[in-house]
Amino acid sequence: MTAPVAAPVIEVDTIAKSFAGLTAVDGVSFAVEPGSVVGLIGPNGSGKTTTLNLVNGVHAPERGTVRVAGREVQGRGSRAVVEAGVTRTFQNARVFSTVTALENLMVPVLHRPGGRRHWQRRAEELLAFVGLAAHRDTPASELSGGQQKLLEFVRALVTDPHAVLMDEPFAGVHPSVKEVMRARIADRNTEGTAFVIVSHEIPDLMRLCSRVICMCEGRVIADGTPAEVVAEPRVVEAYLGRGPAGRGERG
Amino acid sequence: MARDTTLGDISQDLPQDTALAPAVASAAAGRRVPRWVGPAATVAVLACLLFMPQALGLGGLTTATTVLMYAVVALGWNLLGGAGGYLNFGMAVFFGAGVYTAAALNALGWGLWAGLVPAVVVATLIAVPVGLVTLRLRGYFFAIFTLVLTFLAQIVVRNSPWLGGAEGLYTTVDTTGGPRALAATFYYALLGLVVLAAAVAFLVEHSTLGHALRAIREDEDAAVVLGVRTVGVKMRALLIGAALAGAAGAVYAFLTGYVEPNGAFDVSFSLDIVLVCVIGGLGTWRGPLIGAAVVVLLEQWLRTAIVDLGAWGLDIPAEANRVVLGVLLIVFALFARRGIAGLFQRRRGRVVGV
Repeated sequence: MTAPVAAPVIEVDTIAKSFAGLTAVDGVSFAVEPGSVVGLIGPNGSGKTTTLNLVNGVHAPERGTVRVAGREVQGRGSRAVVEAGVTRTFQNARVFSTVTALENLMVPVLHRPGGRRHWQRRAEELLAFVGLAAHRDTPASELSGGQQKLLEFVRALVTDPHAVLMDEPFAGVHPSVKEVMRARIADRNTEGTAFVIVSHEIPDLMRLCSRVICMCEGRVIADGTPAEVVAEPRVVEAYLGRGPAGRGERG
Repeated sequence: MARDTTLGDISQDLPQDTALAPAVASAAAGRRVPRWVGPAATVAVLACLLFMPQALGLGGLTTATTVLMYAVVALGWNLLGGAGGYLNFGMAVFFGAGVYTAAALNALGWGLWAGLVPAVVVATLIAVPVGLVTLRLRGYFFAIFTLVLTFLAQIVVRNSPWLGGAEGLYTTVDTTGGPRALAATFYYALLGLVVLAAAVAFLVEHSTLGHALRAIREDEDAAVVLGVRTVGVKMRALLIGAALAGAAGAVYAFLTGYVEPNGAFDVSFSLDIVLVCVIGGLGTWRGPLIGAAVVVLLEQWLRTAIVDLGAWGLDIPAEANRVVLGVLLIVFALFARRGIAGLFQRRRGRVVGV
């Protein structure tokens, strides 16, 4: 069970980041309330993953602040963010392939108090949570792509974070695995864990999220309930391009 | 929100090509050898090693002692180098620190056993600044820096008169029991260190420190994102390795009787340690034990075998044995990346359940 935290669990205030003169994120602000599920959508190159990297401490923002559970963490690296209670998964599952499923879950708890036995029991519970209990001693390289995604998901949960940032959790996995993933995210969310999910799988995302943020060209162009965001003309335009009239205008 | 997903083993829900049920079955098949075989074999090997001095001649005992010395240093190297994936070409620095500490203290009247602990302490202390500087480097940069450190150590010692400078130092030992008793003393001292080093390597391999090291080897950035203090983890592995190398160096100082900078801080020794681990098996406690025996015995056999080629009218220097070892390194790196120890493990599940 996630420990209670003062609202908001993540607070991003006008962060910006550019790479070699190209602005990837430009003044993005949002807050994630405890126990909420926020979807982050947008066309390719809109700055979603960079935003996750800025929140997670992989990159330091050039301006703006990132607060996790009230603590300013920008520029302090990933470890400060993890210790403040926010973990993440990656677009392509980055499990440690030569270690077993159980050992993968033991890596994040290396510096945590509580003893090996406690954490091992916790890791086994989480493997069972996503149906990987039978593969406890299987090297991660021998799991299917979907199972690796599930393993990475529970690895992000092992320290009982306040929030988990998930980058494309539904991409490229079997529908049955996708269903397990979606159900387990929902289960954890009812226990109080907040999620920020980047995904192109809009139907799956809409079923999970209470709020959706749409980004385009490094900026937030819509922020609201799923129904509000999909009805927003700028979102439609960002995803589908301009209609025939618009194309005509461009000539 | 739909919450009606039936869980259980999700492999049942997956199509057959991604299901793991057959894989699990074959894993079970991989454990046909009973679990007690591994520990029993370890005890049997240890018993044989205990009686080795009685069974071998003086020459054989010296070779066995050399194997043990390489095994201790390689077990230390294998923590950061094998498990952590950091190619450290500087083990000779820590080994040499142990050699010179023991030799310098011997000049003050300290014996082998008294000099062992200070040698470990000095080698470990030297590893602290080395680690602080190098462990923030990755890949080639780390490897090159550690290689340069060996030359740096040679220069420092050569220009330190209190360490004998370029002339080196002599060590003296009690020889009243005769050469055989003395050789047995060195053998048992190093055997004790091998048992200690193997136990440490086994414990690390099966601890969260071991998992973290392997995580660093595979994807250090991901390990950082998970909150692993990677520099601290690597530092722990380096310090343990340095301590073991320092201990082996202390014994070597008395074994050789004379130490000088090029011999104590020998780059080819560092390379041999890497070779031992690659051939024996990276990242596993068995690897350096197997690799040390294979490399030392092969090296010694090749020396005589290559010299024997002179009888055929070929003028090949004994050092040409390193060409053979180099080829062996390439072969293992290309075709047997888990080393000889890996050949005794099935892809999934161990043949010998240690």
